[in-house]
Amino acid sequence: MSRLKQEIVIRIALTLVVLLAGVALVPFIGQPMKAIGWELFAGVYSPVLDVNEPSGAPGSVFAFTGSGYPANSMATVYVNGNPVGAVMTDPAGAASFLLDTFGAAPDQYNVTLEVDINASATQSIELVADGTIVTPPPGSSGETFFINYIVFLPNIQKQ
Amino acid sequence: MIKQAESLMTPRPGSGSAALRRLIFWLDWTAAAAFGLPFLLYWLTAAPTIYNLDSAEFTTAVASNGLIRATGYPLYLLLGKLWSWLPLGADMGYRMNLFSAFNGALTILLADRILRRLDVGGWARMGALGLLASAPFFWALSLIAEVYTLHTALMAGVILALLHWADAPTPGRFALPVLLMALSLGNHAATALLVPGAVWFVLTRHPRQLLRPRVLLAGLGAMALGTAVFLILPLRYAAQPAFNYAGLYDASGVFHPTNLQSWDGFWALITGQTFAGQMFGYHLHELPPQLIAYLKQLWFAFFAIGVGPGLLGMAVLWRKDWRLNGMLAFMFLANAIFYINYRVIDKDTMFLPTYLIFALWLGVGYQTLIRWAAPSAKPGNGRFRPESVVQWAMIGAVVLAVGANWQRVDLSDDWSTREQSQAILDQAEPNALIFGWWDTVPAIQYLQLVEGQRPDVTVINRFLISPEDMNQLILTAINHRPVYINNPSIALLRETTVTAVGPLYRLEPKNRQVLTHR
Repeated sequence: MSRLKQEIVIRIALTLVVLLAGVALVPFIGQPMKAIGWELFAGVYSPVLDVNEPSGAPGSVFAFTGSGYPANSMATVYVNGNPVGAVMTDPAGAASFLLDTFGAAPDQYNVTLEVDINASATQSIELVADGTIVTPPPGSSGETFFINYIVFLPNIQKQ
Repeated sequence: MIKQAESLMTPRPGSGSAALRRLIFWLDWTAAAAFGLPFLLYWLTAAPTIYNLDSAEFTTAVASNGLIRATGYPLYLLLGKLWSWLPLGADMGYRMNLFSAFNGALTILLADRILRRLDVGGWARMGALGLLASAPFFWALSLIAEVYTLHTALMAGVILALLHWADAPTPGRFALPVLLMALSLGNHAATALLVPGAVWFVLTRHPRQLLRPRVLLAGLGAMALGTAVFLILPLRYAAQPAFNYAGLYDASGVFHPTNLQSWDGFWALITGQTFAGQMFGYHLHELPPQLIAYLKQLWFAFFAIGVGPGLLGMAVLWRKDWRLNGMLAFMFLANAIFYINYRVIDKDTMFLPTYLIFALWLGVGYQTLIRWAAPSAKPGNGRFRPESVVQWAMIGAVVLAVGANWQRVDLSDDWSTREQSQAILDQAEPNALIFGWWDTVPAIQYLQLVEGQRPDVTVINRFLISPEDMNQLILTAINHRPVYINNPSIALLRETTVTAVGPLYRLEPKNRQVLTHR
């Protein structure tokens, strides 16, 4: 290889190293971001409360996930307007909880997760007598709340 | 854009076609391309009508001579008004979207001039500024009415004016960057983040200049002239505009505008005190993810391939001109640090000043690579030229970036805001009262104030009323007029019957007796 060719190869190699340095980070960057539109930033104005299933038999345990809430804030869970518990939102403004319907009568229930008057979302579930028992999807997390106030008494056995 | 324009002014013998040939000869094609190509790109992909969120607020305020929330944006209101008179189509929303396209392209043109002064060649300039022009957020914000591309254009103008002053410091040349910076404050308060860098440059380049009374006088005069744009705010306040986002509604639905003719009201608006809580709003342990998110955004912005050369350019410029690079570094860091720590949902849109600085570094880095790739001994005619590989790789990266980002940013067929607002107005009953946020309210107000639709409907942005006053107003109003809200709270759910109507909810009294006594 002539000296000129050798120099060219070295120069191209060095140039490629600099040019492709950023490309080498691809495994750490992840997928390209979503489309850039107003919907990308509008979530903060309308928090959303999702549930894994819209209906189930009494005794079902529903998994709720809230998003678009103020970050790191205490959010109260209401069922038909009555407070049943509270959860903290995470730094991304999301929160999860489970709702146990043990002992609840078949009916429609409005479940609300609210941080304040400006950050509130409601989702309805329906309990049907002949429905199937709903269980939380694998990996669901969060505190469990009950539609009916339940006291678990200690199980005492006489020796 | 015209080289030696004065030569064209001199009468010369010859026909009209000869004059045209001279014009074509003298036209600075690279400058024309630096403005024309990005403008073409933005024109092809611009939103065709009113867009949502802040964009709707800016457009409506410009069109109706209204007032915007903090920090007031008086320069945008002024320039936007002038722009809106251009015959660019019947739709005011579209015209204002093109204003951002113009400012985006102007930013690229001015950045091109800066890079020329740094001896960066045409290929490197085209490669670096092509990536800036097609960076997702820079591109996206050139397609809708927003203040950000005007901000970057003014920022590029400030840098260029400072370089011009540094060549031959005179009071007049000193006044220009000061004037631009003062004007820029009237467009975006984040101009304050450019001040440390500019002060650094002035103090390290010609420190004694600041001791000269004439220079100081020129600077103070320019500052007074530039900040005079803020007088628009009290003047518009005096006219009691229908569209006013500087003030608050009370529980009876009466709007109390902030008194912009008092110093307290004026100062509170232009300093953005309503957003003070979001500034440096993260705890220390929350910052690493924010920093990583920003670095990823920068990586995407320069399409991966610009990252290495950009860092190289920064290092090269340190050695070549540490004073200039100090200014750029201060501007970059001040903006990056401030916005990384700013707790707002749309902060991804606010990093454009850092993009501009990085693009300048990238231009220097690309030029370094082109020189680097060229062999010391020139190959003979027809032989392989390695620097041409680098040059075509830079242009190829721009073409790929345009292709890859087009789908992400293209708004040329996005009528969603107009359709949503139109649907809400169509479904609203006569004399309705509507509550919502930026994603619903300003665009409805645009249809009302700019296009004259449904003046019977009252629309209130929840940002402009306290939660308690809003609840009280709703619970009073539902007894005698239709009330809609975007997302009812538990307090409203308890006391009203809620029915979904399009993207809103219609509230009706559940128990009039109870509500009457509230």
